[in-house]
Amino acid sequence: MPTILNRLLKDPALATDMTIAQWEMCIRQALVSNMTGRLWYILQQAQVTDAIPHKVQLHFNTAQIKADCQSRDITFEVQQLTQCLAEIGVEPVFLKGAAYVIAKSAHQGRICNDIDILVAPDKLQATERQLGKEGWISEDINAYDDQYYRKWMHELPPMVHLNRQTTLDVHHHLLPKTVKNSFNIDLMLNAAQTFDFVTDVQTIRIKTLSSVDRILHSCCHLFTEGNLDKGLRDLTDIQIMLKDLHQKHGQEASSLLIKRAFELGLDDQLMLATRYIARLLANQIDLSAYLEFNWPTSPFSSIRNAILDWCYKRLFIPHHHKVKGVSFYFADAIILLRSHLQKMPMRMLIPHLGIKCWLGVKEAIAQK
Amino acid sequence: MSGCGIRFKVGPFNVQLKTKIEPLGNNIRQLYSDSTLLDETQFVDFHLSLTQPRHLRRFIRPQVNFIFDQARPFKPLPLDQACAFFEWGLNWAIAQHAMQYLIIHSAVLEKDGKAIILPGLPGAGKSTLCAALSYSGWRLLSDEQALICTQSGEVFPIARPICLKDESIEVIKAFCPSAEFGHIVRGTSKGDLAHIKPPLDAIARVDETAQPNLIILPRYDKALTDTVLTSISRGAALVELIPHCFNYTTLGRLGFTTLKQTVQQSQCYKIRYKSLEQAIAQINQLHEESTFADDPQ
Repeated sequence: MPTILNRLLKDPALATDMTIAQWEMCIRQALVSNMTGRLWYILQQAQVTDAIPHKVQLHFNTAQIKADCQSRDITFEVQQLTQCLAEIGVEPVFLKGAAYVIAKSAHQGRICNDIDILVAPDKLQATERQLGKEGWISEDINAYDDQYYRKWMHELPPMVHLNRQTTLDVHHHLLPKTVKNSFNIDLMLNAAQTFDFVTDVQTIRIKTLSSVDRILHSCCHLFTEGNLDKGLRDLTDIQIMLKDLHQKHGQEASSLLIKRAFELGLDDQLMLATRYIARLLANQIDLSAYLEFNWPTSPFSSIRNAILDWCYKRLFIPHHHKVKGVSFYFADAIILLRSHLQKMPMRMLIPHLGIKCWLGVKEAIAQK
Repeated sequence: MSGCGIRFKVGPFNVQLKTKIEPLGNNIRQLYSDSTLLDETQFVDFHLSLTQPRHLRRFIRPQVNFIFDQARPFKPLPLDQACAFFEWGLNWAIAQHAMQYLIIHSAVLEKDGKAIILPGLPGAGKSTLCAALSYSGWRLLSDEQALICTQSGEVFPIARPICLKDESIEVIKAFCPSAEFGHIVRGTSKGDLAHIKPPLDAIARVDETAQPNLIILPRYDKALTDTVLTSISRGAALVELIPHCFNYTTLGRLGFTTLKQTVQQSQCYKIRYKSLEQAIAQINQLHEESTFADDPQ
């Protein structure tokens, strides 16, 4: 039996016929999935909010108020960062949550933990120096981690603003340096989209990835990620952005997106995202162009997809202790392994994995 | 209290608490004994548990964790502070998850349907004054959080135990001999701590809201000989209150409009006092004047 949150996402009309105990569990599940605000948006879109008991609505309203507050905060930070980096001629490209707020797509009811920017690799050092002058400092991490970030990762160690405590990730690519045959980031930087922000005193030009690249980045992130505790929320992000893209480009949308996915080598991630959106979320747009597309196959495709289906079915749930079964921990370990294999060569991975597996088993025993 | 824990009503919130820590269970049973117990058909807002960490340290210097559903928002505290940890944790849960209210860090009491709001920094004497008033003809709405409804502007009672610190424990023992004290904890980060059980009337009428009427910023000052009462403008009161709000920024415009409405319908004062009797007499007089003279300032 799927969890109540999963059932509601697949069929929002269920909201008209839920018991108090189900609502209580639903709010708990939504909270651990960081998607109470998003669920509220989905229920509003489905026009079923009148049926929701008052006490439950109060939790949804709280989530909405928090998401609105965060949108205001993000808008402020985005302007500060853009202006700060303009002084050295760098135009940061905002990613993920901040980009969704700027582009007003998939920002609905969303809470994120940090702001992510992308800068050209050759501007990385200058960017770090300039941000330091404005009060952004690296989080206190040990020398090994710092070294690891700078040598192998696609981003600097996380930075925090001294006064405002906002966390900032500065990327120079979307995938770690350890990934073989990864795309040229200039492709995305050159396609970036510009938004004009009109303030009281001036107009600020703010950049995000293009609408197509925002979708592909989200797919890429979700299906190279080892920890899916916010996976359901991320899947709804992609669904909302897809819907917006299809509304804007009509019939052209799917071919635009698929073509770009192949250009960047992110076709597999797009295939998986659309596959699970179709299976797990309520129908919003016609996904047949993706589902019936002739994606490249290998002799192992069908077995690989069967394994991934088995895993993701168990992981795209609220990661709440009341619903995680033993098979959840197996699926979690497999996806964690896969996520590392996608990012690292074996010789780096094996020592790393020994530790992770041991921790996973320990947690499974502790939970049961 | 292990198994499914207890589910009980705390003002407008329904809380479930699970713990295997016996002294905490006993203390909760004592301090919340008048609260309504809930069954499985009622919606629980906050699922809380207090547990001891598993590691070996528990044999040497035992600790306690506060768990909100499955999140652990705080570092563990020494085990003997479990009761206070429950109260602080519940304060946090409310401040984080109840944006239907503007939440001001203050004591609130009611008489004749009119509420008096007593905001104060730690050490200002708000809880002492609150405890004394709640045994002097005023109904306790809250010792710690004024819940002001952003829709109606009313104050919602929560009537939880009153937290007293250091010398105020003895002061209140002398002032209200009938007050029932929970377990006293020595030497916490906030000094010695004790909670007193809310008066029965406060729990029985916990669903009766009140309109804000007086805002009084208290300050205990033992160097004084007489109580000093100063009227302050509504604008000044608003500015004084903002830093006392838990969720003013999060609420955005709604935070401002709610706070504005609260001060607009209230008369605002600062009081510096040494004698509880004198302070209470002054507050009673202000209440009589503002309630019955019906004089818009």
